[in-house]
Amino acid sequence: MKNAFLTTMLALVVTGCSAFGQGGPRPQNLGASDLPLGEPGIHWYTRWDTAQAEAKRSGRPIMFVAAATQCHGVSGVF
Amino acid sequence: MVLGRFGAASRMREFAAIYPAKESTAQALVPDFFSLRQALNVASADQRVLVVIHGSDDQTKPLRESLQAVCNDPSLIGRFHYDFEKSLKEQKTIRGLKAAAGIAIVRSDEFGLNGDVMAHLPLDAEPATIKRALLTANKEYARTTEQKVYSSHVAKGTQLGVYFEGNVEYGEDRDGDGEIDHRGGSRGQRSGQRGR
Repeated sequence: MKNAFLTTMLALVVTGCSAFGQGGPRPQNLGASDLPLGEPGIHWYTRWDTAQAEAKRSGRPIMFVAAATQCHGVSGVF
Repeated sequence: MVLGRFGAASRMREFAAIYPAKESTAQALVPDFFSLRQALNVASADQRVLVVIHGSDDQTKPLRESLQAVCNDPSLIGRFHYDFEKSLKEQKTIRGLKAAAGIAIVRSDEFGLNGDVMAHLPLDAEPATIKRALLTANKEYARTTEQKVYSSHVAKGTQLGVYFEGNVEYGEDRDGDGEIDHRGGSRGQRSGQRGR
């Protein structure tokens, strides 16, 4: 997921353990990202104002993603 | 449209074809964060180098524009996070961060609560200089950082008492009723590393 849409779509992340939605895997069942360190991932816009400004400038649609950089209060992870 | 867990990539390609960019994506705006605290946490979660640009609006406006070409450079895009800060109230969370206006290239720590400066540049650094410094930092970061394993990261954080106070209610909605499922009680009062 992380590197597929680098130049074609905007992405917006809001902070709020959303990776495990209904029916999703449990944290203890998740491993490492498929993306090697240092390689490009999604060019996130983490604020609505900058994402909206870029969408207006470029005419591209926004992919809105609600995600949290914590899981059960443990930070540093999506 | 709400995209599900599967098939999102193909649907996004369809939308991208319907709404092609009208302007050059090479000049896309530079992203920003609401706070240094959020930037550190997201950079840690994504395991990317964080670029902190510190200075007044007047000081950073030219850089915000000149950085567009830099951060959208094919060799750099998607490899860094960018945060503009007018003041550094959270300066202490990043070791080696200078109080003076400038560009700090930062490594966020394991839990995104603190960071270390990898390199400093002046606000008027040439784009080529910034690009070179970012490429060097990214290479160093990838070489010296252990890739996170989700399960062990969460288990370690729980063991250490890491708790990140966020604005959004914690929990999951696994039963799909639109409400957070409250199970297991609150960890908010635990001792240990706390991110506020």
